[in-house]
Amino acid sequence: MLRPRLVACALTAVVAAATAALEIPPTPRTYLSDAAGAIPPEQSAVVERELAALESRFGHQVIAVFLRSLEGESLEDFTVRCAEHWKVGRKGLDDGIIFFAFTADHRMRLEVGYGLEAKVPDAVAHRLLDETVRPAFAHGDFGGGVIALAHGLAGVFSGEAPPPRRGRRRGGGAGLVVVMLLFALLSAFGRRRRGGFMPGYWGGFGGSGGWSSGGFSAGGGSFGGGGASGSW
Amino acid sequence: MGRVLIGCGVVLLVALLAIGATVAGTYNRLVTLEENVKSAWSQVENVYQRRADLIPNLVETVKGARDFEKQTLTAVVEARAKVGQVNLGHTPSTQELQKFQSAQDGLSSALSRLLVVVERYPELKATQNFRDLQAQLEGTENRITVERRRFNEAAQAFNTTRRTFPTVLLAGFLGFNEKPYFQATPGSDKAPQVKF
Repeated sequence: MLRPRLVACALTAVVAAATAALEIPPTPRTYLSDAAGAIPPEQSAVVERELAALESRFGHQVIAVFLRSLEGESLEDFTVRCAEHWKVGRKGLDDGIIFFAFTADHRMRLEVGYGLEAKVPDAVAHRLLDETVRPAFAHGDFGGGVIALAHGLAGVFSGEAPPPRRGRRRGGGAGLVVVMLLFALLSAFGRRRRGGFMPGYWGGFGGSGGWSSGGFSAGGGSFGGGGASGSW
Repeated sequence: MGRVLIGCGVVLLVALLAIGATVAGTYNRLVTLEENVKSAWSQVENVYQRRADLIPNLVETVKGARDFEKQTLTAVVEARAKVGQVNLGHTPSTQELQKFQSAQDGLSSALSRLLVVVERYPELKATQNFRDLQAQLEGTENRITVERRRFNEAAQAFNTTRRTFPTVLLAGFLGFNEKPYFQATPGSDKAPQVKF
């Protein structure tokens, strides 16, 4: 009697959540995505460089996303869905961070990957938003806010031990060497046999981990809703 | 005559193999999906535990404020104790999940009452310690929402597969029961907003 109704309720809730959702944008290809037109073009190059520098310096992928409006969606629900889709941060280390700002709603959020929750606890994330980003945003200086955030995060990161700490990636160095050898072998082999060996796959590979200088490519990190929200 | 018998035997053997393969495939698929449900559940317990671990610190901090309303504090401490009794360590049955959820919801409402009362103590609200706790508490509530959703999704994936034909004929026989869902408490389709 009761059970089918409960199940129906739960399913309705799930379905409602799925259909009402504001569409999740495709995975960003740059460190800064500004769909809201909040940052002037000459400044966005600086922001892009600052965020890219965080990855080359610390290995942690940090991206910033400006959108116009939540269209009535719940902030945290939407941002964590994006985070699940985009998989910013390295696979296994889960060390990605995504900064979201919704210019029409004056809401922002820092989504912190599983692996950085100890390094960037919610209280720290909250302070970064409140004390570093908010003052700049309140003056309409969105680029400056993100640059300040990048500097703030660099400060937080530099108080840390070298990254490969979480047990899941055993012998990461050796693994990398093997993968690179395999890559070299296969691509040489492939080239000899027929022009290009799985061009799509290798294209993606070259971009991942930020080895190539242009653009951003997510590394496969996961998120569990850590971080903080704020407004300005 | 002999040939007909051999033919029958071959057909029977093929049929048996096909049935065996179907059963094995079904079993493996359900095992995989059930593992997903289990790991989603342990994440749910983790994040709830994380919230429970914040309570002693919160209580200490709030106690420090001059003549803070005792009643609300006691309610939180009591709700926290109840939550400690429902830790399962395994995927819950429908009744267990109901008990778990009602205890956790009790703590949620005791906490939100506390945070409403804190509004009347501006000095307490302004301390760095309290603001940090508040951020942690908000973050934990958000993690709870996320992990509960993931659990429901995993349970739904399991149940959907379990109910499809021919799996539905075998699931009960293989000992796979329906997984329960977290029920949306009124207003919890949005992340529980602890507004300060």
